[in-house]
This record gives sequence, C-alpha cells and structure tokens, in this order.
Amino acid sequence: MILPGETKLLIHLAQRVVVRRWTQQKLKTLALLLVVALGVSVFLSIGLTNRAAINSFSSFTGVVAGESQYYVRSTIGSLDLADARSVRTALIKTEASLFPTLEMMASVEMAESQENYKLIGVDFLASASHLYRTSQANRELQGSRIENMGVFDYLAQGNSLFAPSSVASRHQWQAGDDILFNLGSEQIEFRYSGEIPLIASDANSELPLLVMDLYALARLADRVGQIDRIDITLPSELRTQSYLEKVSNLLEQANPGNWVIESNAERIKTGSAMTLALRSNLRALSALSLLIAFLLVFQALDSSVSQRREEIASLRSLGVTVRQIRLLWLLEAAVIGALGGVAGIALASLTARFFSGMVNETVNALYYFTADDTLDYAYGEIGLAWVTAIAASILAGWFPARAASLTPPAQLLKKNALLGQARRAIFGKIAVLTGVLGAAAYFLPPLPAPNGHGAPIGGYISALAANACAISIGCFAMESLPLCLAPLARRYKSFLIGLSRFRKPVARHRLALGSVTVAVGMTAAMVVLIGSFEKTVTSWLEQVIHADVYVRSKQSQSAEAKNAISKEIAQAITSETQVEDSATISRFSINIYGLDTFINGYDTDYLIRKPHLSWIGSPPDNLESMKTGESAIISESFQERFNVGIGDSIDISTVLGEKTLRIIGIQSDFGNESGSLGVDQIVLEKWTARDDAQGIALHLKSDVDLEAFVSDLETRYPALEISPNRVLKDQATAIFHQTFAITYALEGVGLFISVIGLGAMLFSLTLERRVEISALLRLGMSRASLASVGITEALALSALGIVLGIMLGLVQGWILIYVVNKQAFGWTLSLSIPWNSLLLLGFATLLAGLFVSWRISWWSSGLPAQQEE
Amino acid sequence: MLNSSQAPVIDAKGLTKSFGERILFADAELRVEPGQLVALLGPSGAGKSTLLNCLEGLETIDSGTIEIAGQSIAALTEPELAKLRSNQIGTVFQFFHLLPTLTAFENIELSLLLKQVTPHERYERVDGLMKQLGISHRQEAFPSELSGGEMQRVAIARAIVHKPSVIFADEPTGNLDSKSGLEALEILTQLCSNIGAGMLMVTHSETAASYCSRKYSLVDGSLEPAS
Repeated sequence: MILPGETKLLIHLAQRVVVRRWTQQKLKTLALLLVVALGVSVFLSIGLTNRAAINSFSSFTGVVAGESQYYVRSTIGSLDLADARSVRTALIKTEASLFPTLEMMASVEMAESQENYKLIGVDFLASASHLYRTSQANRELQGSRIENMGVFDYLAQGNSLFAPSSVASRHQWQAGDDILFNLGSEQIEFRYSGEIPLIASDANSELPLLVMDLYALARLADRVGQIDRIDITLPSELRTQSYLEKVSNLLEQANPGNWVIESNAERIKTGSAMTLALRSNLRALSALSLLIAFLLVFQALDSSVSQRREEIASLRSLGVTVRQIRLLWLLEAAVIGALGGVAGIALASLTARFFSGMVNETVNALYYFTADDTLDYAYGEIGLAWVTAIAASILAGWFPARAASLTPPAQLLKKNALLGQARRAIFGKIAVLTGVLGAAAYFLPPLPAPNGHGAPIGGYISALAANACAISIGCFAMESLPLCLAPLARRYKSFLIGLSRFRKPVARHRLALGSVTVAVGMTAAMVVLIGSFEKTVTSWLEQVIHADVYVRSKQSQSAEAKNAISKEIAQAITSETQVEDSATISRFSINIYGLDTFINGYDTDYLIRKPHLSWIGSPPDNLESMKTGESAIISESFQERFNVGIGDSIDISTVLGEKTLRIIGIQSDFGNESGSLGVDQIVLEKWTARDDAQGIALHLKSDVDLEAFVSDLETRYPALEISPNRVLKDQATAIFHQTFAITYALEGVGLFISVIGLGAMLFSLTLERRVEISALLRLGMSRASLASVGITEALALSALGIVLGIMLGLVQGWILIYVVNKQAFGWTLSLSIPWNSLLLLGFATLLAGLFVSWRISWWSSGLPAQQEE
Repeated sequence: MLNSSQAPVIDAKGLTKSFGERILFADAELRVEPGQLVALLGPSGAGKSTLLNCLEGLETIDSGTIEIAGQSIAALTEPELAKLRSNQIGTVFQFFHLLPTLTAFENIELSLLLKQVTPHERYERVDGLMKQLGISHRQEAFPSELSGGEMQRVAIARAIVHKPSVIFADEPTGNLDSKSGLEALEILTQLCSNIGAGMLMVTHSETAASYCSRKYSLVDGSLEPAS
C-alpha cells in the first residue's frame, strides 16, 4: 500500500533508479521483456486455441440459423421425420422456429491433397420464413438476396450448393460451375450457386462450410427421411427465463426417450467436455513455459538487487524506508510484467495461429471437425494473460524486493560479502516436504469432471510437487558440486575457480538451475509419455489392423466423418472375387446417461473367426451372445468414464426403445478418450435404422496381387480411401505423431527459455565479477582460461539441471502414465523409457548451454580490465 | 637469493599513452633491477594505475618498449603474455581481490596452479608460506571470514608464492590501518628480498615509499625520478 505523500518520492526514485537503469541497459531490458513476452504469448495462445476448440464445436451451427436456444438430436444415429413432427407438435403453441438439419462431411480433391468441408443441409423454406420475420433489417437484406439470387429456383435443381465467398474465391468457383465432391462413398457433382443465402450472420463467413437445401442433400446422400439435428430458435423478445423453461418443459414432455435436448450453453459444454483432457494438459504445459519465463524475471530482479546493493544501501542511509525500497522493486516487477504482457499479447497474434493450427489438427483427427478461422481474440483470455503476467511478475519480484529492502545501509556493507545466499538446510527440508506431498497427492482420487472422466488433480499436484522437490534437491546438491568434482578442481584452475562458485551460490544460480531442471523435466516427461504411448499404440495397431486392405471414406481423416459407405457399395466391395474374408464396421455417436460416446457395430462372426481385438484381461468366451442384442463389449476409456466392468449392465436409448446390455469384455482402444461400446452390427442397424458402414476390412486370397487390387478399387470407387495394411498403420502412426506436435512445440519453447535463463545468469554474474576477472588476468590467466571458468560454471549447473531434469522427467512420466492419462483419458499405457531420446535431450541441452556459456564467457574475458578505485 | 638473471626486471623506455587529447604519460623511462624496490608516486588520476596496466601488458601503449625480466612484451601473443604474468609477475591489490569462493589456501595455491606446479609441491609451498606469514590457522577460511590484515597477507602470499621476478603492488596499504599497513610492508619487502624479486609499488604513502630505494613521480604526464 502506498501512503499519502509517498507517490511523488516513488515516482522520482523510479525515474532516477529504474528507468535510468533500463535506458542504460537497453539490450538487457529488451531481452527480459522478450522472454516474458514469449512466455505470455505461449500461455495466451494456448488459451485462445483452447477457446477456439470449444467455439468451433458449435460455430458451424449458428451460421445459417443464427444462435438457437435449443437443439434436439438423437441419442443414437439420426432423428427422422416423425421426430421433427413430434417437435413441431410439442412447440405448436409457441413462437419457436424449427430448423431440421443434416450435417455431413464432403471433400474436394486438390492437386496433391483434399480439403474437407462441413456440408450442412438446411430447410431453406424454414430459414427464409424465420429470417424474414425476425427484423426489418433482415427482411430487407434477405428479401433482396432471395430475389436477386432466385434461391427458390435452385430448390428445383436439386444439387445447388452455396459456399462462403472466401471458399469460392480460393477455388475460383463461379456461380453455375459444376464441382465434383466426395460425399460418403460416392463422387457427386454439385452446382455452385453463389454465396450462402439466408445467412444469419457474416461473422463466420471464413468457415470451411458448404450449405444446401436439406431435402436435396438428403436425396443425394441417400438419407431421405433422416435428420441429424433440429435447431430451435426463439424471437429475441421471448428469450426470457420463463419462456425458455416453458419450451424446455414442452420438449422434455414430448421426448420419446431417444432425444438429447440441449440448450445452447449445454451444447457448448458438450464440445468443451469432449476436449477437456486435451485442453487441460496443454494449459498445464503452457503454464510451465510461463513459470520458466518468470523464473527469469526473478533472476533479472535478483541481479539488479545485487548490482545495485551499494546504491540501495546509500538510499537507506539517506532515509528511504525498507517499505519504499520494497515497493520500488515490486513496481519494477509489475511494470516488467505489464510491458512484457503487452508484448506477449502482440506476439500471440502470430503464435496463436501456429498453435491453433496444430491443436485443430488434433481436434479434427480425434474429436470433431474444426477450422483455424474460429480463433478469435477474446478480451477475457487476453485480460487473463495480462493479469497473470503482472501477478506472476510481482510474485517473481517478491523475494528480490525483500532482499533489496533488507540490504544494510552503506556503512554496514562489507567487501566480499555475497548476497542472495540462503541456508542450504532449508532446501533439504523443502525437498523432503514436497517429496512427501507429491507422494501423498499421487494417491488422491480424481475429482469429477464434466466429460465423465476424472480431473486428475492429485496427478497435477504430485507433478508440481515433484518439480519443487527436484529444484530443492538441486539447490541442496549444488553446494556439493565442488566436493564431488574435487579431483578435477585440484588439477585444473578453471575447475577450481568455476566450481568454487557453488560453495556460496547466489539466488541466480538456483533460479538458472531451476529453469533448466523444470524445462528438461517437462520435456523428459513428454519423451517418456510419448515413448510409452508409441510403444503401446504401435503394438495395439499391429494387433487390430490385421486385414490386408481397409476401405474408408475420404473424409475419414476427420473424426466427424462417420458411416459414409453405403450398404450397397460395401456389399459390392466385399463380394469381389479376390476377397477371401471381410467385415464391415459401423460407428455412431451415442448419448448414454447424458454423456456422448460411440457405439460400434461389429460383425460378431468375424470377431470370433478372426480374433484381433486387444482385450484387457482374458478375451470373452461368449461373444456369440452379442447377436441377441443382450450383451456388449466396451473399451477401457468407456469402463473408466462410466465406471462399469464385466458383468455390469448399461442402458441405452434406441429408436426401438430402451435396451439393457450386459458387458462381457473390455478392449484396449486408443482412438478416442470418449470410449466406445461394441454391439453386433445387425442389431445396431435395427437400433439406429441406419445400414451404412464406416469401414471395411478385406482379407484377400493368397494369390491376389495386392497393388493391382487396390489400384482397381481406387479407380472404381474414387470417393473411397483404399489402404493396404501397412499404409493404414503408417497413417494411424502419423495421426498419433500429429497429436503430439503441439507438445513438441511447447517443450521447445520451455527449453529455449531455460537456456536463455542460463545465459542470463552467466551474463549478469559476469558483469558483477569484472573486478575479479581483471584480478585473474593479472594473476596470469589467459583469456581462454578465463572463458573456461565461466563455461565450467555454466556446464556444471546445466549438467546438474539435466540429471535432475531427467530424473524429474521419469517421475513425471510415471505420474502422466499411471495417474493423469489413466484418470483423464481412461487408458493404460505400458511404461517405456526411451533412453536414447533422453540421452539426446540431455546432450542437446548441454550443447545449447555450452554454446551460450562459451559466447558469454569469451565475450566477458575480453572486457577491459576494471579495478575498484 | 638473487634473481638468476641480472637484466632489469622492468625496463621501459619512451612510453607514451594518451586518451584522446589527454596525455597520461609521454616518453617515460622506468627501470627496476632485480631485488630493487621502487615506488611510483603521484596524485590521484595521474595515470599510475594505467602505467601499471601497460607494464603488465593489460593495456596497450601508443609508443615505447617494455621488457619484463628481459622479455619484450610487444611481440607476445595473449597466451604468451598470460604465461609471462603467471611466471614472472606477482600482483598485490589495494582491495586484495581475493576470490570470494576460494579458501585462503586455495587463493594462494591459485598462482602455483597457473604455473602447473605439482600438487605436492603446491601444498608444501603454500603451507610453508602461510606458516611464515602466521596465517596457517586460516587455511580453510573464506575471504569474507578474514580480517583486512589477514586478507592482505593472503594476497601478498598469492603474489609471491610462485617466486616471480617482479611484484606489482598497487596501493598495498591503502585499505589497511596504519599498524596492519606497516606489517604488510614489512612482509612484502622481506619476501621480495628473500626471492630477489624487484618491486614496483604504486603508493600515496610516504611511509610506504620510504621502504623503497628508488622513487618515481608521475605528474602531469611526466614520469620523473623523485627524491
């Protein structure tokens, strides 16, 4: 708290002391701000990216109909026209507008790839009617659009398709162009007819979206009578709590049992819950980068205390109070946080796009179709990042501020005094305490999470405690370095001097060690996790991908592309003369007990004939019972999420009513943490009224030429992806690596910042030791020997940080595998320690440390001799 | 014991050094014989420390020649200069400049380590010298734990332990009380005499200068013998 009358003095001191130092050390100040900016930009980018991932779940919905207040979808498969009629009947006495919608994925072939689009079928008549009556402005806008474009003429054409202008201009589509799209298992020609008409908002016009009339799409996609979702919109004046409740109650009363009724907020929550575990982990990783960045702020402020101790002492002697000195340093910390935060926010406009691209790829592959364009710079996220930057900076400045305020007045200053030392024993105690805390937290049960999995709070606390423990062990062990390396110190002067500096380490030594330890620990943990994941998933893929050829739709790279192969085409392909054995698999979203998951339809005979699933525990001996629709198999994630096991029962709503399934087996499935329930395919056809398939597995006769067979199928079914066994495995592995791409980037940022921290420590200590360096020169040390003293100091610190970091990484890897992944994703991984990668990580960090320390030490050894006068 | 070489330990001729317009010293001549103690006097800011830096090869001169123990330093490379300093020169500083993280023993030992003396001999020489200086009980003490007088004894020991030809002492008593200062001077001159090293001592103190057989004065850029 600043007392009255104090402000003027503080401003005066800040101008004379802080600002002047900044202007005198422009490069150093700039570097510090950049480091803070980097940390903030990573943190903010992940925040914005996470937000975009949630937003994009529903962003396609609002484009045509505007924001709806309720959504009705089926618990399993699709709704049908009877459902639409029931919804209409239920809401007949309300002012609600209904928008039955079909959502599919379509792709267009590019030169070397293909682009996926969400193809929405919307009832143009209903949309026109709704928009026409919403407002005068819309009436004019839509009226003119409708008239100008002659929208209703297109209804008669049956294949008219509309796209945002950005999409059309990228592909250079002109109205009237016929364009070939892959839709499910077929290639279909659509006529591009212009910009999306009847659009409620232009805000999302950059989305990869195609729109056509509902009934035209249903006919072309062979889905006549099916509806994926009904959006329910109320006039703005009626969106009161009581009216919303009335509509909700009417819908609930009419629900035959197989409807999922969601408000807009609930729908966003659903999307949010799907990606919760992924987003939480990214947030944790980005927070670590921020933590490392603020260790550097701590280091820089500590350095300024050390460099200015005589100045501080003089101020104290002149009557500046302890509190005012402390405030001055905290003010400096706050300004660094504020300025670095602003720079970080600016930098995030570049980095967010980079991270967003990578997260989108993951979300696309694992959860739902999304797009880069959903990234918006929300004030909330920006404000959070800025406030976090300032708060963290003040926190980082607290100890240096305290040290500054406790600096004794000038007359008490003593030559050769080393400031910033702490008692070694305290680090030993912290290490023991945090170790015990981490071990206890390891066993904490997860907190309930909205996605049905647990929030691994114990795992996160345990990992955080492990970080604190490792840093404390490092601070404790640092003072033993000279003793441990005494034989070298006795032999070489550089070792004697360089290592002797750890006998009385200063705070910056500890901070640099801390940042290297945390960064290497974070990276090593991810190396262990990814290595274990890779080993587990590779072995799982080897088992489950067992057929010679797999057939999928070309949109199958997106997790949202489901059930795209029509029964006729599936039958034609499986009846090919070269095929010895085959099976199809179908897959639908299903809502069980309010949670979205998947239901797979398996060919039960094929499962028995060609066992390939990876079972947890012994394989079920009664798979045959699935054919009656009484039993099911589940995945491990499903088991964790719904807390059920073998012998338990689970109830599901189908188009044929409520069904109870007894669980007879649990399989490993690393495709999606939503989990899956597996039933007999024929049974599932009846329960969903859908007979299309998601994939086909083909076993060829022994004498068939694989390449020729694949090539022939590709020619005849250009809308389908025909993949030989090895190609599919490679694709699956590539998706796996893609999902970890962002973690590699975050690790890189963390390591980069930590090496900068090492350099910053050496740089600031070197500047403080100029007199000592001059003395050593006079005693006969060559420039090379002087440089090697600095290198020895930095390398010893790096080596200790790397060893501790790798040990920390192993502990965190263990926590990630056995606690965080198990609780957040619900799957068990086999621990695998990729020693080569860990050694490479250690070596690369040591090399980076060597390079930075060599540059700084060589530069400092050439500084002009300086003496204290 | 006298230095085996009878050449001057410092032989500087025609030294000129200027910073921009300001001439620190011009055409200066300075000679120190083995075993000879020489004082360099002059007011603050006259350029005494710069002259010392130049003689040690830490700063360049505009013109002139410098020979240390018979070796011209102009032609020496940086590593050769470093070797010359570690073998032939010992330095005593006003503020001691002991390395704060090394013990008293290690600070003295450093000069022998730079000369690549064997560990056994290092121990013998440092231990012997510390006993001689009455600080053997402070071997494991860090500089921050030593008194001013003890620190200067360690600094003198560090400058002398490797038996250099010449000692440069920059205000060796400037940071000590008069009693400790006198003790330090006694020790320094005694040790120089023991090893036959010449000494160039920069000082303001007439008392300190009185220990020297020859005096130079640097005033207004001119280096002249003083009485």
